[in-house]
Amino acid sequence: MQNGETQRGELLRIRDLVVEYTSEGETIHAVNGVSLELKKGKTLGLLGETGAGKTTIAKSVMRILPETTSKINSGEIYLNGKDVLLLSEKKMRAIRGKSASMIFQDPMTALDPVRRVGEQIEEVIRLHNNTGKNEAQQWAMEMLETVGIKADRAREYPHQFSGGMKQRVVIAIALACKPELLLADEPTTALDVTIQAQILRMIEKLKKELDMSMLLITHDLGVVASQCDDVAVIYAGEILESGSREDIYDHPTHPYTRGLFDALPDINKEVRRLTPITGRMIDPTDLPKGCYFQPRCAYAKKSCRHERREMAEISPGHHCRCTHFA
Amino acid sequence: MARYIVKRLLWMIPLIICVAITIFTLMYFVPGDPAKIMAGTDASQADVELVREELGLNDPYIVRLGHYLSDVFLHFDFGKSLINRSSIGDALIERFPRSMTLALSSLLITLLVGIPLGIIAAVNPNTWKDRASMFFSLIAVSIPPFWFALMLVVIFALNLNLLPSMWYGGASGIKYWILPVVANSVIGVAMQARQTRSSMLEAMNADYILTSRAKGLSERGIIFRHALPNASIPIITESFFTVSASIAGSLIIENVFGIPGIGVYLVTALNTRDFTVVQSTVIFVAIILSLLNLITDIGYAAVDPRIKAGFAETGKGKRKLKKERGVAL
Amino acid sequence: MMKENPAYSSASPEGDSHSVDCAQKHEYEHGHEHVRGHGEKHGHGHGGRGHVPGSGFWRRRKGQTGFSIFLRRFLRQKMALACFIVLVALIAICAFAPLIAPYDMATMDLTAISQSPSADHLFGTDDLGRDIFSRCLYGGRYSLAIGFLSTALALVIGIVIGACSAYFGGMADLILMRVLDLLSAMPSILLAIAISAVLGTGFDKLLIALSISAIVPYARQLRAKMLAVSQMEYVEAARAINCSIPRIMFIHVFPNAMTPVIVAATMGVAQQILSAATLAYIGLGVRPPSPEWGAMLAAAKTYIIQYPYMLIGPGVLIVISVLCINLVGDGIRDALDPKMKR
Repeated sequence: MQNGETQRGELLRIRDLVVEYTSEGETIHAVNGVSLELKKGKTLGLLGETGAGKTTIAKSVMRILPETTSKINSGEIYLNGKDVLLLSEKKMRAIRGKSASMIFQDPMTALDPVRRVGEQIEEVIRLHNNTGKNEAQQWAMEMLETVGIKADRAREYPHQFSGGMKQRVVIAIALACKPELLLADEPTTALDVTIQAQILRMIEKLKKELDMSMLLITHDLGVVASQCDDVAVIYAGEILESGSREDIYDHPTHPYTRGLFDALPDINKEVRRLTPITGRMIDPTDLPKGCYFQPRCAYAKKSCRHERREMAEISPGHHCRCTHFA
Repeated sequence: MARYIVKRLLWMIPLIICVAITIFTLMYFVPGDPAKIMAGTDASQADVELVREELGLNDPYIVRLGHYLSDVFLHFDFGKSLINRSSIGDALIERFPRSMTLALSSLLITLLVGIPLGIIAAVNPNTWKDRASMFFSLIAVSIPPFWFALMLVVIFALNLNLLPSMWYGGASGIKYWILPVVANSVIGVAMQARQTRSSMLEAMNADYILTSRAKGLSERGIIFRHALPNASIPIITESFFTVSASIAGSLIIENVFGIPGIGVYLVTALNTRDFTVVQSTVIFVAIILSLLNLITDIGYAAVDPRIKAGFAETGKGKRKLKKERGVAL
Repeated sequence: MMKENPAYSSASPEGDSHSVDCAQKHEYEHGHEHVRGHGEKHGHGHGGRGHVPGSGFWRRRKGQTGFSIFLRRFLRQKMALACFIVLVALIAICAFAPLIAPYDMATMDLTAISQSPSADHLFGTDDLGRDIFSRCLYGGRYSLAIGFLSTALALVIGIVIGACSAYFGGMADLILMRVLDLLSAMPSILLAIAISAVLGTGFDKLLIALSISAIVPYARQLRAKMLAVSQMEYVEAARAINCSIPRIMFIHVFPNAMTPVIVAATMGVAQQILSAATLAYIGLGVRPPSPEWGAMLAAAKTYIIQYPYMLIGPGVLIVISVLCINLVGDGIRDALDPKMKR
């Protein structure tokens, strides 16, 4: 029955997810009806700017949204055919860190400053496996080696590690129990460019080795190009365009997606000035009636202000909310 | 670590000497002639002169200061009372344990009640538990402790006759300590609870808590394994102020219950204008507090590995960190 | 304006959060969003030539001064607001005590000695037949005035010390900080006792003693905060556009660093009222027959066995005023900076 929702080969399926935050009496519409699918062994890139709701989606999958200020209003999140939103907290705990893991944006703060890094890896191992202390210690050291850190550094504290090294530790924690799903929330944003490439290559390699699927959250078109099989472009808590990497890169259809590419310098073209997308992200406490991107859209028509458009399939597997360029 | 302790001890010494100099200088300007006070009201001019000579009051300021400092710090001699010529050092030693009993038992209660109260409030934010404990704390920090003590006496000693209202000479037994300790710890409990709550809330909002939640750790595990150890750093920093507040508080509370400790000694001296006693008592308390501060600093270092690492090098990291917290008392 | 300048936009949609917006960063540091992704909302008005974006709280949004935001947030907190009203009423009643008090504060009525509270004498009468309620109203003038004045004085001195220390740094900083170390070597109440002992009793002397004993936290807090703020990116940005250093200090650093100090000072008033009462109780500061609340309690203590009700009136008034000040302080803190919320 539940499996009916998930087609074969699909690991994660989100349907019509709606998440809200409340702050100072205002309601912030962070995610407004997002649906997406992630196939086994694939990487789905979630592309969007700050405040688009990317992180909120990942946290909803893990069910680690702040309890008091946020609310998942509706929607279903199927992981291996089971709706995680219906699971008890206890069952959910067994999933977190085991079948689904998350890597956070800022490695500088993601580790507990008063515990040794080895301990922090052991913790997740012992939570999900019936191992003794020594065994877990051994395992944690292996994990450190796996992410390219000498095992004897397990006894050190996070402040003794650089940002890139900390992110490696965070990855080691996430991968220690060989999860099926890895949610990577801007794993390289806070790092230097040179380190970024190393980390991404390592994630890619480990993903293949462990046969994981990955939801990669990023705002970097370059990262998407190098890592993802499929891409979903998200704006104001809504997916504007989705498809395979080729669909999005070769045939960007939504004005927003095209705007992103126009703002990117192209080595093959002689352009004096890049064209930025003007304006700012809309106020998530006060969503317009029509298209969310319309206030910033150069091609907006009158009807865009009032009419909501549903996702339309413009070629097999390539969906878009705007048909202006279709 | 050992190096750090030595360093802190060495820093403490000039600080205490400066405190002593400051207090001595302050008392130097007290109006009134100590010789007259000591000689008594009906003493002749010659008697007063004799006393003046004996006390060295004719010496210039700097010589008297030098004598006083060498007496206190080299011979542990705190001088004599102007009123009855008894040794101040002996009196302090005799009275010190009583004050310490009061201060330490209220400190114990403060920590044992205040910290759990703060934790309960912080892990159940915006629930009735949180509101109740914060409401209690707010009331408690708004009551003058001596008045609270008086009210306790009125209710439990005078009306209900449950507990003794005063300390008697030679009296012992827990029942004599209950009211004083309660009166002295209430404000500390409240302050500790507020501090603990805010530190815990801050820790609970940190990113590493999210990491542990994503690991599948239970709420209990998160609180005790990650939030509390991290929150304990500011809690320990603050606990020096708890210590110092409970000592200062006990000096006042003693007076309500007539416990013959250092506080009563000080207040009696104030009212009889026995300024050598005031001077020496204040310096004595400052020394005790500096020692206690040292202990909290060491505890602070024991908890935070970053600071422990800082000690190994210069010991400056911690001072900086502690200062930046900007503490209000 | 910034947002139209292509130099500020970058290839990635999120680029602007890295390059442009010190304002935004600061909003995060200091601002009122707990929730991620809400950050874009504010700061529309920042930017422009010569003006450094986001010098924090006091100039947050275009057309809205920091003060109006503060006021709006403060008014939303019912508890703090109620306490503020009670406090103002209390101050007014004490200020107009001669008009309101049913009896003169010094008139002794030997026919009505040591009476329990009644309709005639709300808090009863004391051992000399004086009406305790009337005396409490007069006494509030001392107690409240001492609380506010000594805090104001300590605040001014603390600000001067803290600001000089942070501004000049080096030797001046070192010396001033050692002076503060010295002052904080003993609990503030003990310091106040020592100073009172030297100065003697009386309102003005109590004021000085309490003020000196309260300087340390303000000075330290302001210094620490000023140092922290001057590390922030919007100050760097100000430096980059060649703002003069005094201008940076007074326009950008100082107002932002003051926020926690103001909050501490509000609570400080409550602390000072308690300290004043404590000093009076042990025979320092204001002494009977002045009807200061602490002094009245000290006088009433003698009759604790026979007439314990004499302790009620002044004590309750202390608790009410201190409680109200604390709650107003909480409200101010939350309104100034919800992140400081405890």
